[in-house]
Amino acid sequence: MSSIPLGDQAATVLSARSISKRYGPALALDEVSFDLREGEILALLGENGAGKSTLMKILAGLTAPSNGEIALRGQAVKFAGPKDASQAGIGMVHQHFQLVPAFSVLDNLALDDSSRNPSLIRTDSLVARRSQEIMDRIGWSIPLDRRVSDLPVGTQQRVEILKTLLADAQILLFDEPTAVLAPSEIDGLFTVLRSLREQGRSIVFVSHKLGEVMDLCDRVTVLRRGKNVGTVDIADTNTSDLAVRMVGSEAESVLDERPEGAVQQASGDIVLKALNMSANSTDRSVALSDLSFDLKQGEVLGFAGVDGNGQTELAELLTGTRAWISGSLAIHGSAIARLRPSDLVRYSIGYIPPDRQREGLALGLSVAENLSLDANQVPQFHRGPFLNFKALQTFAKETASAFDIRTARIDLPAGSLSGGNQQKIVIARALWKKPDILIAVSPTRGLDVAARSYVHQQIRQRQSEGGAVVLISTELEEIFALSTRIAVLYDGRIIGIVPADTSRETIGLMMGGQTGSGAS
Amino acid sequence: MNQIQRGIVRVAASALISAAFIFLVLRFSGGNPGLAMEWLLYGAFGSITNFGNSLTEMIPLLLTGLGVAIAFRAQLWNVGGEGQFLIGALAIAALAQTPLRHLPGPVFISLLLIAGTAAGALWSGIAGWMRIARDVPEVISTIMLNFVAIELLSYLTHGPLQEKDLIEPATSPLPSNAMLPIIIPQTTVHLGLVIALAAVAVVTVILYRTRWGFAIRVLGANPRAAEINGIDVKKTRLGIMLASGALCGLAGAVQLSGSISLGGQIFESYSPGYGFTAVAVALLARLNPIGAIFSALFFGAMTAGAGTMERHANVSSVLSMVVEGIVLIVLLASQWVKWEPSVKESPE
Repeated sequence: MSSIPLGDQAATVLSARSISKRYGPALALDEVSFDLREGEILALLGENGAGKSTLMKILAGLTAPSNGEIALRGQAVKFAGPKDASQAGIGMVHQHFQLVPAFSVLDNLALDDSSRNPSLIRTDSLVARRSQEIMDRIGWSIPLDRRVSDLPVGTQQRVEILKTLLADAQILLFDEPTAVLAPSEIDGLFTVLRSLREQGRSIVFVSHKLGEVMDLCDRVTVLRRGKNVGTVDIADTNTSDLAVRMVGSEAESVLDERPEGAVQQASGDIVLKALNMSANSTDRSVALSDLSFDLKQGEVLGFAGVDGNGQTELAELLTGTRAWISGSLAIHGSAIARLRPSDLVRYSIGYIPPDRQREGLALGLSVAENLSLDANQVPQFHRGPFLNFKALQTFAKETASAFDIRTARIDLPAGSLSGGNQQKIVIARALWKKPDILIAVSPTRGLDVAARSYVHQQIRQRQSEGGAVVLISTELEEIFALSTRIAVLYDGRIIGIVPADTSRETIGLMMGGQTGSGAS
Repeated sequence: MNQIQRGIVRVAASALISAAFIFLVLRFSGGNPGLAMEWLLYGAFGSITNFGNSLTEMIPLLLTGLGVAIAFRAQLWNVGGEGQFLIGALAIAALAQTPLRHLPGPVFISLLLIAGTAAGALWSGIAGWMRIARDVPEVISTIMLNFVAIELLSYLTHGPLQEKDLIEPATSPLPSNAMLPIIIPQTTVHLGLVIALAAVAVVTVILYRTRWGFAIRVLGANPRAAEINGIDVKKTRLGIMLASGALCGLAGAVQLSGSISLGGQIFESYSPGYGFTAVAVALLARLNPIGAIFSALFFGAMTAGAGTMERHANVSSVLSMVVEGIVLIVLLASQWVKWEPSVKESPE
């Protein structure tokens, strides 16, 4: 597949020329070239591990390419660090914001500004005036004196954008900017991006979400396993074409669609019953209040909601790391006074935690050990104080193959595996016991299409075998793809529980805190 | 390059760099570097007696090194090995003055070693308890407890435990039935060597074959993952601190009842910093119990060889500590060189 011919227009502002990046034996980028034109939004589309983030880091001067070069308006440049890239007019908005949460917005802006305009005396008033001018032009009103941690995520992202505009960046790199946003915030972001384009700025928009790319961008460059597999105009393509380009030929089979007739009301027994459960907030967490719901055999109860409305806390409540102060929890009909993580195996609860690296895995331990991190709770894995080493080895080998975990050897550290295979370890640990109850929290976070499809298939299988699933996810797609009923969390409460065929608009309104017609 | 080749290159490079630094240090201190190194090696390995000295020096380092390693494994930074070592020794010095000393040797010695172990565990247990109950960082509490132990020793050797003639600020010598037997003739190597090697075996089995050891390793690798997988983090942490202190306390007891040169007495500057060198022993061994045998032997040999070097090459034995430091820093630096790419540079 060919890319846009060189010298197509005079207005190429940034070119990557045959950029390769090698991490040890792994080739993250393999001779990737692309051109960014003046005043366009170019999508960089690819699955996780396709090399998008690596390419962005190179363009932003955060890491150096092993081979190849970057050219700005035809001139080859070398970035020794992010400062050089910034001075060359390249600004990056990271997926994880580079803000000091305890500082005010103005402090953050001034901090960033001070790296370009070193001055012993603080220049806050100047920064404030310039920021205000920029905000007036795009019609924003960010309170400069507020602490960043008090602002919603979408506004924090605007602070990040403001930083790049203060540096007068003409080339803006957005690394998965929608990953952290609620649907309404995404619309807001797109409006901003379009207006930045109208000002003549050039934008690289990194995403693995096809719909967003079609909606927003002018052209799209697709990366697959570190290679540029083609650049096309949005007008000449559509979502399924992009999906094929992104994952290769198997795309059709892995597109994530709900199987026919999957929406049915489960009529099984109630396996878990929460009644008026409340929990205190600690640190920055949300207080949970008055949660009541039933979980039946053979159903997937999806918990939708904008991130930060009690998802983490609910998961902790149901898996024993957060205590409740009132209300009751019954599993299989018997009330439980207190749930501890060490009880999960006994109550037949499987848990897929939200963040595999932070909570799900011990990356320094082997694949085999990670498959049985809960070995101390599983009777067949120990004899008295000793581990049953043989049983563990056999188990690990069988489970690795049953769950298609691709690793050269099971005694390699889990950290050496790809994200998808790491997640398979977490999934395998939660599912091999065929738990009556599965608590899955953002089970496909950061996974590519094929791995997502795998995880969804595993969850559906547990459901069809009669398991009950609590799915907590901020990705509406995922909620719709799997759930038989949908509960919406807002500010630590369940604002309503609705059938899975409820319209997206209604769910969207509920996620914004509006009950009204939605809860009917 | 594969892992083994890189390992060889690393060790070779470390050896060369260390040798260069050592040469410079010895040169500028006015000695003859070649001669000094020769006597250092001779003092450590040159004869059965000399090698015995190295092994004897290795015993307390191995036990304290193990204690530190097991704690570091679980991300518990017990740097109080020195205090726990001293408390272990003080406990048996005190116990040896009770009527229990009329017990037969084997029974009495066993009792003393158990007491020293328990005392060390108690000392680190204070820090462990403060960590789990009040979230006091163990780095701080164990350092502070070192000072308490050092001053306690000073008080006891000047007061309640001072020897009968009240001439020296030291405890009474242990009775002869409290001394560990020499196991290799013509050397100072005592039964403590067997105890230390047995401790290596026990710690290895615990770490890699028991439920508790698994909990320790999961906790060390990712405390949050340990918690959600049902490991009682607080209980495990307390247990690890107790075990760590127990090994250091045992080291103190073994050293007092085994070392002939000390004559079974505790003096004011009783420990040349075994509990601190233990951190180096553990880190150099990459927190691996079997590796600790080699790193403890290395430090033990350096100490044993230094005396000979001083006498024959006219180079101050203090320089052996400089040499130890150089080798340690270079070796540790070479380990970070290997670790960095895999940790920091992995693509998402």
